[in-house]
Amino acid sequence: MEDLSNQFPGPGGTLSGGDAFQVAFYALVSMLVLVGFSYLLSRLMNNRKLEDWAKNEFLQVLVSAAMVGGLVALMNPGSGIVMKAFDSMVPGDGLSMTYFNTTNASAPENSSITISTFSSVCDIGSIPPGTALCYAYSYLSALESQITGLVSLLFSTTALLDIFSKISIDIIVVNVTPLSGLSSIVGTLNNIQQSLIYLGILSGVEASLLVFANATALTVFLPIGIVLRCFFATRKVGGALMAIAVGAYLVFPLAMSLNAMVIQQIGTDTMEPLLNVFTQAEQLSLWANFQEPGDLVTPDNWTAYISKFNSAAQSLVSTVASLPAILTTAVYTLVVQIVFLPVISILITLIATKELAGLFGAEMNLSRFEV
Amino acid sequence: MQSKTVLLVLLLLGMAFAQAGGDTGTGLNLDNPVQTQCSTSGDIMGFTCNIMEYLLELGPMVAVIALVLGGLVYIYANMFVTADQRGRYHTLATNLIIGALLLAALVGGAGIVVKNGMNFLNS
Repeated sequence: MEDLSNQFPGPGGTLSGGDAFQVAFYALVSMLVLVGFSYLLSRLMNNRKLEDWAKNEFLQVLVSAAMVGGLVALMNPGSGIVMKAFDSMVPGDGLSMTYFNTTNASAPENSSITISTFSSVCDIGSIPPGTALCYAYSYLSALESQITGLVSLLFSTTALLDIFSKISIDIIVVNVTPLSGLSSIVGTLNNIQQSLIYLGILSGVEASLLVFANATALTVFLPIGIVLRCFFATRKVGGALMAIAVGAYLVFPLAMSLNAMVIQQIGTDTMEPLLNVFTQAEQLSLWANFQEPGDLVTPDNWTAYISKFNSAAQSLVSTVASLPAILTTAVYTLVVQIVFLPVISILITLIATKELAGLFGAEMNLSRFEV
Repeated sequence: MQSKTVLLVLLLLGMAFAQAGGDTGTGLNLDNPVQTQCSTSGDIMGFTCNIMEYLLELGPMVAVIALVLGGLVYIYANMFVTADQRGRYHTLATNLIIGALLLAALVGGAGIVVKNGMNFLNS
C-alpha cells in the first residue's frame, strides 16, 4: 500500500507534495473563498449566525492548513511533536522490564529488556524502535514468550504425570496403581493449559492490533483524516479519523506501556517452582533411573528400583501439592496482564479518542462508555 | 471605528500581496492559486481543483459587483433619500463595501493565507 504520509512535505521542506496534499490545498482555498461569500451575505442580510459561522470557518481553515503543513512535524515517529510526548514520559535511562526468558528451553532464565535494546524485538512488523508502540509490542511479545514457555513445560509435566498415574503393579492376583491420585491433578493441569492457550491467543491478538496500528495509523488514517478535515462537509469524519489515528498510534501503546511499567516483573516467581515439579517428574521416570532396561532382570535391582521410585514419588507428590497455588498465581497474573489491564487500556484509548475527536472538530458517541 | 480602519488597511495590504505574489507556471501554485492548471483526468484532484478555479473566478466578480453596488447605494442615499431614511441606506452601502473588500481580500490572499497556515507547525 502506498504510504500516503509521504505525499505531505516534511518539516522544513518545500511545500510541494503529492496528490493528497494538493487536494487538501484546493479544498482549503475553496473554503476560504466560501468564507468570503458567507461574510458578504451575512453583512447584506444582517445575519449574525452566518457571520459567526464565517468567522469560525476561517479559523477552522487555518487549523486545517496547519495540520496539513505540519502532518510530518506533528506525528513523525522520530522527531514529531506528539511522539516527543512519549520521550518526556520515560526515565532518562529508558524503560526496562524483566521477564522469564524461555527461548533457551534447557536453561530458562530471568531476562531484562530496555528501550534501547528494543530494536531487535521491534523488527517484526517494522515497528520503529524507541516508540511507545515498540515498547508495548515488546511487552506483549515477552508475555507471549512467557505463556509459550509455561504451556510447553505444562505439556511435558502433564504427560509425565499422566504416565505415572497409570503405572500399575501386578502382585500375583492383586493389581495396584500407586500413583492413581495424580490423574485428578492431570485433569486440572489440562484445564489450566487450555486457559493459558486462550491467554496466549489474546496476547497475540493484542500484539496484532499494535502491528495494525503501526501499519495504518500514520500511513492511511491520519493523511485521509487530514484531507477530509479540509472540506466543510467531511470535517467531522476527517476529525474522527485523525483522532482514531492518534489514539491507535499513541494512546493505546502508551496505555499498554503503562501496564508494563506498573507490573515490571511478569510472573518471574511462578515459573521456577513449576520447573522443580518438572525436574522431579523427570527423576521419577524409568528412563532417568535406569538407562538400561536389562538391569531390571536382576531381582536385587528391583528392590533398589522400588526404593528409588518410592522416594522420588514421595518428593514428586509433595511438590505436586504446591502446583495449584503456583499455577493459580501464574494464571491470575497473566489474566490481569492480558485481559484486565488491556481492557482498561482500550477504555482509556476510546475515551481519549473521543476527546481528541472533539478537539479535531468531530463528535463521537461511546454510548455506555460516555464519561 | 479605529479597529475597522486597521482591518481595512490590513485587507488592502492582503489584496496587494496577493496580486504581487506567485509566478506564472504549471501545476500547483501556492502563492497564487488562480494560476494553477487543473488536470482534466476527472479524478478527485481535478474535481476539487476545478471547484477552486470556479470559486476563484467567481469571487472577484461578486466582490466588484458588491463594491460598485455599495457605491451606487451610497450615492443614491445621499441624493434621493430623505435624511431620516438615509441611515439605513448608508448601513447597507457600508456593509456591501466591507463585505466586498473582505471577499476580495480572501480570494486574493487565499493562497498566502493557506501557505502560511501550513508553515505554522512546520517551522
